[in-house]
Amino acid sequence: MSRNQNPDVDFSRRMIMAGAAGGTVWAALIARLFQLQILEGEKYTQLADQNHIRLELAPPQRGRILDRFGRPLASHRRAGRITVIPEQMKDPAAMLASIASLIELPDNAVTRVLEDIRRARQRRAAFVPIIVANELTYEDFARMNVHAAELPGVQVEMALTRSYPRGRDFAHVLGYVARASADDLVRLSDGMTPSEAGALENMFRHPDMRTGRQGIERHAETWLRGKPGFKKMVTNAAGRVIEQIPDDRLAPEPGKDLYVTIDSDLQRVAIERFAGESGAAVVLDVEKGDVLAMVSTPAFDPNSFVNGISSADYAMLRDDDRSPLYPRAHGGVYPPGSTFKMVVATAALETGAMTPTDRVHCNGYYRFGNRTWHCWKKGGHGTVDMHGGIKGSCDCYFYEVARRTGAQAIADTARKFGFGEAWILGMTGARGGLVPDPEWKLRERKEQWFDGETLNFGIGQGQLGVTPLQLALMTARIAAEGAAFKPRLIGHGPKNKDDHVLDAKLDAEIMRVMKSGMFGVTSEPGGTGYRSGDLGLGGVRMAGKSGTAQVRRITQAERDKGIRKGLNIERELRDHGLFVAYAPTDNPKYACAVIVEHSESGSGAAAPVVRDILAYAIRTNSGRKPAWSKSASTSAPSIDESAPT
Amino acid sequence: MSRDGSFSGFTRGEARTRTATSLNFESAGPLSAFARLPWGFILLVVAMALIGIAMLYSSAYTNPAEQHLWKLQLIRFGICFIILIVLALLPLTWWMHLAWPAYAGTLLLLILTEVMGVTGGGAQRWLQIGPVAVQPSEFAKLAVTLALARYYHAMLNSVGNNLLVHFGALAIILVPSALVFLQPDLGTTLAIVASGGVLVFLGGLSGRVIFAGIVVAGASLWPVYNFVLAPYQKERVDTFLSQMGGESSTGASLGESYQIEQAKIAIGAGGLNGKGYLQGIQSQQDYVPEQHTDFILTVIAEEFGFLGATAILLGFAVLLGWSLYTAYQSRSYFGRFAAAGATATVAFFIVFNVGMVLGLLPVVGMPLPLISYGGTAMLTAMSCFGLVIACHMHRDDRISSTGLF
Repeated sequence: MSRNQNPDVDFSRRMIMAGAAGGTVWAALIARLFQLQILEGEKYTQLADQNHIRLELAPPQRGRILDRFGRPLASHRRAGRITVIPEQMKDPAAMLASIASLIELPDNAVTRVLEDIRRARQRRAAFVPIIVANELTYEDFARMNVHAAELPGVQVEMALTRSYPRGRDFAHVLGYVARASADDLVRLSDGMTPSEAGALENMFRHPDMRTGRQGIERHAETWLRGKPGFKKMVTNAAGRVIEQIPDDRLAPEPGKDLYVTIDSDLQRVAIERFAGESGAAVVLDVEKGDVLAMVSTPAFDPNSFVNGISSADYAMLRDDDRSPLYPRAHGGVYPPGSTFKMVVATAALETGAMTPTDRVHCNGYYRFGNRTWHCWKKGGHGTVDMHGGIKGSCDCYFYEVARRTGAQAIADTARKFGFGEAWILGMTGARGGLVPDPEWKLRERKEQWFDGETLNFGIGQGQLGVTPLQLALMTARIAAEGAAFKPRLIGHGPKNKDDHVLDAKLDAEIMRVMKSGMFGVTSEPGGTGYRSGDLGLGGVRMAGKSGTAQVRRITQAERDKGIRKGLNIERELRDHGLFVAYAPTDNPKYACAVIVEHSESGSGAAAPVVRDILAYAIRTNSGRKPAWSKSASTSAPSIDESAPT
Repeated sequence: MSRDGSFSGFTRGEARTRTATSLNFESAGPLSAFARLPWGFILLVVAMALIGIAMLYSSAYTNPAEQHLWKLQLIRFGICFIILIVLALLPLTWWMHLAWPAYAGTLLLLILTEVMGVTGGGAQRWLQIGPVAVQPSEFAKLAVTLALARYYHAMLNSVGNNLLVHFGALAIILVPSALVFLQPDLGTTLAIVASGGVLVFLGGLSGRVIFAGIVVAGASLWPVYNFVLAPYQKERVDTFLSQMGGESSTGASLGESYQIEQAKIAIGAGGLNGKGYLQGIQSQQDYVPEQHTDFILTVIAEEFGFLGATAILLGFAVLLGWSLYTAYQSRSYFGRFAAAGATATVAFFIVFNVGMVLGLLPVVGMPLPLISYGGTAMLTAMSCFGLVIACHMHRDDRISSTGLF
C-alpha cells in the first residue's frame, strides 16, 4: 500500500491478498453449489421431473355395439394412415408432392395440410403430427411403408378407427360417431360445471376421440365412451416426446359393450329381400318386446362419417331422391292405409258401435252426405261381417264402422296401440306421427272436423300418420291378445328413460276377433293376402293385413278415365304398399311390419317380404336366448380385424 | 507441483539460492528443458480438457446436429496442446519481445472486426481469416496481460511506483476494452478490465486511489446502465436482478430467465452424486440452452452432482493456485506480472462463467476455460497456461530492464 515499503514485500503481500480473495470467491461458488444441490436438491429434482414428464391424454377405447348373439355391429379396426411432423420436414410442399406421386390424395389434401403445417409452426407445435390421409387401402399402405424411409417426417402408421362391419345395415339404428363439433360439446357438457366442461373439451380435442352423433352411438354415449386416462410422456424442452413411461394406474377405462336386441342376420335377410326398393321393415318378438330387425333402406354407410365426410359426399346423400339419410323404420311417417282397419274395428267393438257379426253391404261405393266414397274393389264385396271386412279389406264396411264409431273413439283406441307416440328406444330421429281427432284439428288447424274425414280415418288415410315401428307394435299387441308389451332395442346397456310399457288395456276377446280377421287375410279364400299365408315351414302360417298408403289422391277425372291404380303414373306419386303380420298363427312369436314405397300393392309387394322375413325368423329362431344373458358383464373390447362391408 | 515446495516467508533470497541450479538451464538445451516442464500441472490441464470433451459428448450426443462436436473439440485441444508446449518452452525474453507487437496486432484486429467482422449472436465478434473465424477479443485478454507485464517490468525497474505509471497501465487496459465493448461483448470487456485491474493492484497502486476508484465506479453504475449499455445487456442485468430479488420465474417463460432457471433445475437435480454419466435428463433433452458452450457446468453438475462440480472447481483452484504461486516465485517483474495476469485472466473466466451458471451473476456469455466447447476460448486458456509455465521455467531469471520498448 505504501510506496515507501520494499516493492518486493509489497508485491508479495498483495499477491497473498489476491490469492486470498480468489480463495474466498471459490469458497462462495462451492457454497452456492452446496445450496443448490444439497440443500435445495429435492426441490429442483421435483422441478426437473415436472419439466420432462408430460401427462398426455389417452383416449379410452369406445365400447363395442353387438347384436343379440354377440356379433359386432360397431367395433374397431386398424386403419393405415399417413401423418407428417412439421418440425422434421424442410420442404413440406415437396414432401407432399412425393406422397401424392406414390398414392392418390384427396383434391384439397395438399392445401389443407400445408395450411395446418403453417398454423402448427405458428403455435410452436410443429412436433404434433398432422394427418395427411386416412383409411389407406392395403396397396397404398404397403407402398407408403416401402418409401417411408426416404421421406423424413412422414409417418405411415396403423391407428384404431371406429368401424361398422355391417356397413349400411345398421346406419339408422346405430347412427355413427364423429369428431365432436362445437354443438356436440355444448350438448355433451349440458349440466356440467365449467371445469368438467373444460376437461370434456380437452378430451375431445384428442385426434382419436369421437362422439356419437346419431342413433345408439349418441344415445349411449356415456356408456360406450369410457373414461380417459393419461400417458406419461418424457419430453424435451421443445415438448417433443422422447419416450413413454408405462403406468397402469393412469390407463384409460375402456367403454362398456352394448348389446342390441336385433338379430343382424335377420336384419340382413330383410334388407336383401327389399332388392333395392325403398322401404322399411320392423320385426318384434311378441313375447319379450325385443326389436329383432329394424330396417330402413336405402341407407348410408356410417363408416364414411367416422373421419368426417366430405361436403360433396354429404350433399350427394342429402340430395339423393331416395333419401338414404331418412330413418324410415322409426322416423318415417306414412298413412297406414288398410293396416289401420284393425284399430278401427277394435274401437267399434270397444265402444259397442258394432258387434263382430253386424253386417254391411258393399257394392263398390258408399254414399255419405253428397259425396260418393269408393271401395278398392270395383264390384264390391257384397254383404260382409267384421271377419269378412278385415279379410277382404272392405272399405265400404269400414266407412260404415267409422261413421258409427266416431273419430274420437278411433283416435283413443289408436293411441292405446302406441300410435301418435315417438318410440325412441335409444335411437335418434324417432317420430310419433299423427293421430288426428276433432280436438286436434280445432287446436292446430282452427277448423271443424268434417264427418267425411271420419270415413277417411276409417280406412287409414287422411291426416293419420304412423311409422312402421308403430305398425309392428300394433301387430304385436294384437298377436299377444292385448298383453302388456315393452318394446326394447337395447338388450344390455344404459337404461333408457323414454322406455316404457305399452300396457293400455286391450280386450283379449276383441283381439281374437282381429286375429281371426287377419288369419282370414292370409289363409282364407277372398283374403287380400291369400297366397302368402303359408311360410313353407311344414304348415306354419302367418296372419296379417295388407294396406296401401295413398301418396296422392286419385281424382274423379282419373277414375273416369279408368285409372284406379297408379301403375301408369309417375313412380314418386305411386302409393306405398304395406303389410303387417304375425306368426306362427297358433302361438304368435314374431310380429312384422313392412312398407315398400311406391310399390302400389301391400299384398303384392309387401306381403311376400313379410312372409320371407317371418319364415327366416322362425326357421333360425331369431328370438332365442340372447348373448348378454350368458355374460351380463362386459367383456373387454377387442379389435375387429375384418374390413367393413 | 514445484521443485520449490519448501518455500516460506516473504524474504526470497534463500529460496533463490536453493534453486540456483535452475540458472543453468539456458545452456542445458531444449530437450532437457522439455524434461523439466511441470508435467503434473500439464497433466491436470489435459485431464480438465478431456473431462470437458467427455461432457460435451454427453450434452450433445442426443442431438444429431451436435453429435460430432466432441471430435472437433478433441482435434482443437490437440492443436492447443502443442501450442501450450511450444509457448511453455519460449524463453521469457521472447515473450517480452512479443508483448508490444501482440498488443498492437490485437488492437488492429479489434478495429478490423469493428469494420468488417462477422456478426454472430447479435454481436460483431468474429473475424474471418482464411478458413478460420477468430474472436480477436479473446486474444485481447492475453495481449493486455503481456503488454501490462512488459510495461510494469520497464516502469518499476526505471521509474518505480508512481501514480502516473498506473495511469499509463490504465490506458493500456482501457483502449482494447473500449473496442471490445463496442462489439459489443460485455463479458470479455469485464474480464479484460478485471484482470488488468488485478495487475494494477499488484503493481502497487495506492489503496486510497483504489478506494476512490471503487467509489467513482459505484457512482457511475446508474449512468452506465442507462446510457451506455445496449438494450439486450440491460435486459440481462434486469433478469439477473429480478432473480436475485427472489422473483423466480417459471419454466414456461422464455429468454434468459428461462435459461438460468433451467440451469438451476439441472444443477439442483444433480444432488450429491448426480444422475450418472449420460443420464442427465435436463441436459440430454436440450432443456438448458447453450449447455455445450457456456452452460457446460450444468451437465457436470447434473450428471456428477455436487461432488463432480466441486471437483472441477477444486481442479481449477489447484491450477490457479500453482499459477499464482509461480507469479509469487518469479524474480523478474515481467514474470510476476505475466504469470499473475494469465492467472487472473483464467480466474475471471471461471468466476464469471460459474457465477453466471449458478445464478450469482448476470448472464454475460463467458465460456468455462478448458471445459466449454469452442476453439478460441480453448486457445486463450491454453496460451495463458503456456505463459504461466514459461514464467515457472524462468522464475529465477533476472531480466534486465531494456527500457519501455
